[in-house]
Amino acid sequence: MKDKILDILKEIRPEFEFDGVEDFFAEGMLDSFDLMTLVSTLDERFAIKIDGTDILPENFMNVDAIAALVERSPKR
Amino acid sequence: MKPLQTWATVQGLVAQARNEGLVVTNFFPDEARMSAWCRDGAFYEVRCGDTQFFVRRQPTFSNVYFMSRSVDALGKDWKLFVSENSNGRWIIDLIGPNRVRQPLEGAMASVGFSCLTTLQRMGRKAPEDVEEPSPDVECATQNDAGKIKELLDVYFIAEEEQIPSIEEIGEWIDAQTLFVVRGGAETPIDGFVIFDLFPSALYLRYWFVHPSARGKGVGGRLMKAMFSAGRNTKRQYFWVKTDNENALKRYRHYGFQFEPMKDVVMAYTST
Repeated sequence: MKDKILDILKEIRPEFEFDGVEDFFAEGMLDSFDLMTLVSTLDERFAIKIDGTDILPENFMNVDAIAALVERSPKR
Repeated sequence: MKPLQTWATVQGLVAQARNEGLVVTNFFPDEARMSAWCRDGAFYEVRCGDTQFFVRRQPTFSNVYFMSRSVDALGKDWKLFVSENSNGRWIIDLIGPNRVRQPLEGAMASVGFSCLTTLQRMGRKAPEDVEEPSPDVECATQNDAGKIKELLDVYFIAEEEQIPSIEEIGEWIDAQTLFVVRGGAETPIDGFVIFDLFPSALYLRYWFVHPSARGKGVGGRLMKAMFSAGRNTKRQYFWVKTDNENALKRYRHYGFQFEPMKDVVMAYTST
């Protein structure tokens, strides 16, 4: 799953190496526009529905946080 | 229209709207800016039909943000919005790649909005070789904040370019990400550049040269100083008006290229 998430991140911002980074937002690797793109892409690629209350930067700050979110989000 | 008093309330409304499937949006929540709007008593919310509207009141106009069930619902609910709220000048930013944004442009045009301007994101990978900054480029001090705000208010178009508050200018000065080239008695500041600096990215916010100082290399020196400050970043980006040919020529000279992300600014006047 982590590889698939890294591929999605790379599609959104190809300049960066996301693997191993602790906080994408503090690093300036993602901004609020990218976050909305990321949510819809994760919904689509993993066939999930990320809950609105989960759309918080801390759930998207690194690959582990995103993987945990994908795992707990209900399937569509 | 209900005032929004805390960021937590904004987050709660966003979560509720998304859970209802209101995913057609121009609203990209930003905690720092929107918390300040709440503190200033300038941020409101209105629910009309299948659309959650957020409104930032400014002195001469209001910015409108939405989360809607569909493009059709947005147009229908906008008519409800204007019928229920006071007259005024309403500005809407439609942001995204063409396939997402163009249907929204059509919907808003059909209910009476007209296009004011189009901005597009430009970016580049940061270059490896960076020149040293010129000694006449300095970090601004808090004493400069008022003058910089005045220049922004006079030379930038508020409806199109999101003029920062004096508090935001003060924060850039504290962060040492606001550089100036000083002028003479008549124009104490010949030019300035304002940017956000992250470990991996540099986001150019405002770049200005006073008309009386143009053609003297002031703008180039400001840019070089900014690039020097961002020498360890990987990505550098900003929004630019697509009809600003002079600026586009200069940005291309620095190696910036358009990214597929546009911001179409539209206006509606209700009387």
